[in-house]
Amino acid sequence: MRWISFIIVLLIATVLEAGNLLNVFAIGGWTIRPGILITLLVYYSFSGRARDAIICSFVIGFAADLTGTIMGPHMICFGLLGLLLNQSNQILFAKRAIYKAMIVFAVYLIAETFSHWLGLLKGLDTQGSFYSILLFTAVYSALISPVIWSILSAVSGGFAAMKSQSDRTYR
Amino acid sequence: MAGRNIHLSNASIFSSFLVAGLVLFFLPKPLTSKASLFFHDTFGPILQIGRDSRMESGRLEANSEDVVSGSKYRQLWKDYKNLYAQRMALHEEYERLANIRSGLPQLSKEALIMATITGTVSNYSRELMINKGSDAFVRSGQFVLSEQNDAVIGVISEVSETAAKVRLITDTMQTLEIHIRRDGTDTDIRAMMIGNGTDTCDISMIDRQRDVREGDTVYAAAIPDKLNVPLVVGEITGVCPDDRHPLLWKITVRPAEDMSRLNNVAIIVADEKLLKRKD
Repeated sequence: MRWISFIIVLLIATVLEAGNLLNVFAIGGWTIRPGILITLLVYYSFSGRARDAIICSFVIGFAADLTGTIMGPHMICFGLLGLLLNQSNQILFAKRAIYKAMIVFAVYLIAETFSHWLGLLKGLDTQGSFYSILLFTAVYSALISPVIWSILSAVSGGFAAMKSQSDRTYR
Repeated sequence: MAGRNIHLSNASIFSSFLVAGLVLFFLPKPLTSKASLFFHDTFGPILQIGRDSRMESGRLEANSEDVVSGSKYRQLWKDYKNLYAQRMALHEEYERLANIRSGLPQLSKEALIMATITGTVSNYSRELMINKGSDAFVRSGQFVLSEQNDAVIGVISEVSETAAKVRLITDTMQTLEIHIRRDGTDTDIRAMMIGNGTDTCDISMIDRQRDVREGDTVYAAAIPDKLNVPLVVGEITGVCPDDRHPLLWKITVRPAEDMSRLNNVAIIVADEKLLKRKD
């Protein structure tokens, strides 16, 4: 696992998710913005070993909580889903873009629904049209997930190349 | 040497993180929200990028001297309504005090603090993050106004030293005491308004005997040390019988300010030293 690249990518994704830059891509009256952290969760759950997938999932969940209203729900849900995804990567073949998008769509719906229910336990209220916004955000996130997936692959590959080059230099 | 040989199994790592998540979840919200506020405080300048461009893209140019843009129209509408409310308040004051010279409490410029919006919290909540906190006398419960200080848009919900969270009036957790008034009449109905989680708010518990119509103006009620003159909140856009309580109205209010176009906000600081009376 290339932890440096993971931390950099996670920081960028968290800042994008919490900031205003994604508003440029917001659509509709509800200003639906795509979720980026969810694609990171799926990508790192599939790409790494079980140990790395568990750590990555919980850390991504923590980052998702930082961008949200309360701490904890995303960390718990992302951690559980990350482990499940990692264990099922022999069954789910995320090779084609359509499969990646479908997995991201399903994972987003499950993660955000359960996080929301946990939030309700903590005293949050359901905002109007929550489930409609959830559905459209899941679709939007799924649509852009193949692009983010490619970027993540390229970044991970780029860091790997840099690392191997530096290893050769100092060997 | 023994430390180097420590090997945690996957189950141990998973359990540790899960317990950490549960602890975070069950800790009181004021404690855990500091982490979120710290993140927004640290990355504030980066998070803010993109808000201006969205505002600019939504702006329309007027083609003629006789036509004003939508945003200008809304600003003029709010100014007019606020002046009307102040006139009403002055009139009431005049009647009460007869010939005694008196002053109506006014918001002084010193009582307002301008803050920049650094981000929205998520797709699912009606909250904003701003770059001013307790260091700038910002406290929970203070009213937050639009950039031109002419409409109430929300209330401060959480504060750290240099950042704060604004819960908008459209959030389902936000209630506000309001007045419903109509131009040219004595209509003045006190009620509670609550956000409905979309771009509008609801007013309930108003008897159908009361005369409420579309187009009536909604003002935030004055609260000592927090808001000392009524300020416009929005306009009634829907009045229909409540399905669950047929004897009551179900009223929909459209906020006077388009929240997505905001770039800066003003906070009324509740420090008595900063509030002064007009002579």
